[in-house]
Amino acid sequence: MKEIEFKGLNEKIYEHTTKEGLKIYIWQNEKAKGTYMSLAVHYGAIHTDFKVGNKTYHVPNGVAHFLEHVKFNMGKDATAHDAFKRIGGEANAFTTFKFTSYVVYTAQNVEENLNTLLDFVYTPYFTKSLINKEKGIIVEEAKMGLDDPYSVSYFSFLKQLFHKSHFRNEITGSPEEINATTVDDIKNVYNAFYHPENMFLVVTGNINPYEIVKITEENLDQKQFKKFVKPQITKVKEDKSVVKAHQELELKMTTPEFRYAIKVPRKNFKNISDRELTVYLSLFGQINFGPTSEFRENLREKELVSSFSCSFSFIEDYVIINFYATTDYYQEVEKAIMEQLQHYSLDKNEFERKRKVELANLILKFDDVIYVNECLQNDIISDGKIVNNIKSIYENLTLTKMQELVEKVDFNNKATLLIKPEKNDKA
Amino acid sequence: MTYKTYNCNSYTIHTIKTDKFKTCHMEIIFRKPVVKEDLPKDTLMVDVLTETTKKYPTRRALVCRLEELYKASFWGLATKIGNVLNTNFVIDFVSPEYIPEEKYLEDVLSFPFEAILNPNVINDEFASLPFKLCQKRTIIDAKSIDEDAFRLSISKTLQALGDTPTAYKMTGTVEELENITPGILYDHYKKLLKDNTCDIFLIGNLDMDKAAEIIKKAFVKRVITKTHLEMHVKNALKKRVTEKCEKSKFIQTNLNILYNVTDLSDYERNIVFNIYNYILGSGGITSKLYQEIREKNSYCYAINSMYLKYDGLLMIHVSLDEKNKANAIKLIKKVMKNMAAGKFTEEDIDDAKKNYELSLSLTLDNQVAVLNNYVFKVFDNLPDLEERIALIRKVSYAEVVKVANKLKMNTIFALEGESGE
Repeated sequence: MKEIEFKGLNEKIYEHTTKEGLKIYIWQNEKAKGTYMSLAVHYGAIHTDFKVGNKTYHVPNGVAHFLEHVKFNMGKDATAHDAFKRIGGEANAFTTFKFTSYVVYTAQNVEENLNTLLDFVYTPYFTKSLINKEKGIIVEEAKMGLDDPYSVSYFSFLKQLFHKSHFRNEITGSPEEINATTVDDIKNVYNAFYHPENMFLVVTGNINPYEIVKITEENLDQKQFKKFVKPQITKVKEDKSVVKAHQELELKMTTPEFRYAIKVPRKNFKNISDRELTVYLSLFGQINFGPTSEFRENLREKELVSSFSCSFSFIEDYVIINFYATTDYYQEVEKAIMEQLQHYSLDKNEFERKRKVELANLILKFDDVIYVNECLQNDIISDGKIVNNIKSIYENLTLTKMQELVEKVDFNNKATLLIKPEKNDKA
Repeated sequence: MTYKTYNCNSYTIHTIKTDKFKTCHMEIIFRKPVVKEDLPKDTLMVDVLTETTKKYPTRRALVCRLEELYKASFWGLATKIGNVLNTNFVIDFVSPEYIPEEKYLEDVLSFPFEAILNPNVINDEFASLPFKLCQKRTIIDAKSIDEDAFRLSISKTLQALGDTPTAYKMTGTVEELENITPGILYDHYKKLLKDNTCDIFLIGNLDMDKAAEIIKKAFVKRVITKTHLEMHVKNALKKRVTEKCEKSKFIQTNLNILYNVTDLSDYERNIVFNIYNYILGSGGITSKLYQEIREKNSYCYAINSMYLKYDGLLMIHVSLDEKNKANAIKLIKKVMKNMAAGKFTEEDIDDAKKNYELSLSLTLDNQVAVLNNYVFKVFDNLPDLEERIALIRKVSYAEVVKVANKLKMNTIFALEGESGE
């Protein structure tokens, strides 16, 4: 078993790959009462078009999430929930754009819980009647999203930023897409992606890493897996431009909301990992737009915003710089953002203070078993590996490099969205 | 974990020493009876007090100071727990063992008292700009309930109870908030140290004697407030169930059914009712309500029963298509009737016990949850975790049936959605 050391943080992750190809990552915390286990598959909401061997598949939006729902069925009148209830485990699952994860949280019977997790995820049981029964449930879940104006606003903005990307679509799919899903769609996806070689297990808690590996290996030994043929995801070629520079919508909101985003091709930033780039950009955002910035204090003094935030995300081959404000004066806020971007600050004292604080806080990352588990899953999905050099990333940051990176951003490639409260809103 | 209490005459410090976590957490809790017309002021006041201080008169200065304290986070919150209004000031900070500065503990523990005792006040009024920003934010929050179908339906359901603390809105109305001036709020603030009892709870890997000394030095409360605080609201039973529907612009219908829970003993309230509720609808997908409404009929994504312990109420909430509302009501009534008739198994009880015990055990990994257990032990004699687990294990089938017969329907409220599929 490999040990991945987190230098300077006195922490390590155990890594092992079973002969079936399942990667296992383990963090041991002897002070924890609970154990958190997640079995995740590299298959998420954006993967609707793929090829296995010579065969091409297209499935409706929302299939990843649909599969997550029906995966809990283990046989006629048998569900994983019943099994976990009997052994004392809190089971759940979630679907993101890029992956699907099945999780169990427990403080007892770790071995039985882990076996049950592996058993239910690797036991396909999909019938027409179960798929039909689930449609009503998922449609109601999708409608909950449609009743949430923040969710509607978020996806409207993604549609404004991206021409073709699957990130434009709700993770649940629309009610029509949910109703169009067939048992064959579910089976095709399961057969193509739910293979140990395309999955990983993360276990965090007061556990013996060797024990976890032994339980997993013994469990998988009893299962049959076909030879894995890696599915090829059909990549969407997304144009550099935004779909619409400015848009105004009316939603069931009580306060106007303003979104502003800059779309930057990832390839503009050369020789830098996603993680390092994230650290640089978020520090840049904190210095220029965070609560300790002059920019924010000016907005407050002029009473222009009630709330404001700046964040970054990686979508397709682009880095998106996001600004969000609740404001009655969106044009003034837009102008202020543009001015700050043109005359951005790279103050050395601010930079050093924030870096020092971030470094001291890295130690806190390793405390909570759920948080650590989620961070490890995100590392694997975003970076393809455990990022164990985060301390050295912070230690080696320089203002010169930050300046170089910021210069690569074309601040004019942007989109803005204004959400206005619906008129005569009675709700 | 080691528990220690320090009596400081006008307030008490309760500490839990543990090396389990890398951060520490402190809550300063002021308590007084709920007064309806004061609630908007209570809500706004805690926001204003944590926004800026005399020493850090801009938000920028205050956040910079928190960053210097290694990104400590500091906030305040006013909440209603039954008949009692809690005003909490909270600080989370890195455990001093990871920080090189010697004065760090003193600086970080003193910080909240700077905000409480030395507010940003000019000529007997809160400073205008931070006040206005907080007022606007609170008004937005008060209005925002109209964009959240779940919150709106819950609020409207509780309004049907009439004039009771359970139904009072924390923010009051927009008009009430607009009528608060910096001067009025400052007068209200002056009562904080006089009219409220105060308890301070601290958890972390700290020298607690030293921490208590720092707090005593930083916090001088001159008035000893002794008020008996009865937390439990006695919401009146209704001779006839209130049935009410309101149209909305939401897609889904949000249906709530409210029950009074009557005459529970402490044991039933703290232990048995949780087992009953787990089987009924708080236990997730295997609960009776989930099985009937979601799994058998596909009417909803989620259905939950929420036990409002300090209000003596149980609320069932479900969001669904309007066309399924009438059937869902029938099915919920059927499930409640079956529970009262004891139509559940010993196995259901064992599963509920096992899972409730699991949830309690898992709270030991969360320092805020550990602290909250202690807070409610102090304020409401809630048995500590080990005692509760021992009591859970003893719960019998007959005891669960008995509490299932102590519910009486009060209100059916539906915030009706616009359309079906």
